[in-house]
Amino acid sequence: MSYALAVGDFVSTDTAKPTAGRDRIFYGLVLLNAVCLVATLQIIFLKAPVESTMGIVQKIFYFHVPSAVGMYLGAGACFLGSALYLAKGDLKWDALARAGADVTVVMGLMLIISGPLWAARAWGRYWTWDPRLTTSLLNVLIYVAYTVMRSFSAGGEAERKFAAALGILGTANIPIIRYSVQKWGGQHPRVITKGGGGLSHPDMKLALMMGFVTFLLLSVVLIWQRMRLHMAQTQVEALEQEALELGIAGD
Amino acid sequence: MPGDTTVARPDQDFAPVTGGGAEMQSGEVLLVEAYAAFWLLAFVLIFLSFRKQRGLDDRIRELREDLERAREQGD
Repeated sequence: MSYALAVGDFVSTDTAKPTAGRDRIFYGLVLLNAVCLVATLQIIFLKAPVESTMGIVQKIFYFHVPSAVGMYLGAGACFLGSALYLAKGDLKWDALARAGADVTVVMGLMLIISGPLWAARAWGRYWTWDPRLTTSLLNVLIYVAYTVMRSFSAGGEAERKFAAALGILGTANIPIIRYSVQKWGGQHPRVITKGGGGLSHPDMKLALMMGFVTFLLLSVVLIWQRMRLHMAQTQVEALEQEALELGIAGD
Repeated sequence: MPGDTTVARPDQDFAPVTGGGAEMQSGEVLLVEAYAAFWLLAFVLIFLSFRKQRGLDDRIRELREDLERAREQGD
């Protein structure tokens, strides 16, 4: 079945030889990500100085902000995949949208778990209904809804199209998160945003830069891995359908 | 106790300290909790993804073999 073969050329199996080159790039990225992670941890804990007012808890910042960027990247992938699926109807774009949503949920959870832990020390409370915190939580909930819907729906074309619409609409919240601090104020720090004071020490800047590199690589690796997984799932469904048509009793 | 406004009677009830939230949180513990959450989430996703991928790859191989066999028998 051409549909199964079209899916299969992206999936890593013994019989799908064209993926060998992609696999090498993928595992190269994983290795690079691991090296960056170790280097980032070294810089954060051994090189970057402790912040003068908040103390050591401020070091959460070097992964907290990059996890927000990872969340944006995941949401961007979900938007791109959804839009291209609606435009072209190719299942690989639907897999990209699903992968993007998965990564948005994980990065978003990292963000909204680490933020309150930092706030407990900095603000004396875990949570306030600050505009940025509220919009970030809303964003995670949107993508949790997306992934739950995809996990429990039958996976037909109507569900895929509905999910694509949700994937596109969900992205509308991203610029609201980004500009909520400038528009509505609130308690959330704006150290590195426009009008903020910036990081005063070069090692603090280096730690943040390394955090960004590590989380961008991690997001790309996770999106790629989840996309492969969703493509393989689609291929299994197609092969099972073909087996049914040929009258082979499946497990 | 910092900010305490209640009279403690530990034999009868337990009263919380009020108004001293920030001082009660250890920065080191919060930092460790945050980093543990980061890597737990990342590694759980990676582990589950790889495990599921392996299962799917096996299933694809199995189905392809079954289909090939069925086609050969049909010819």
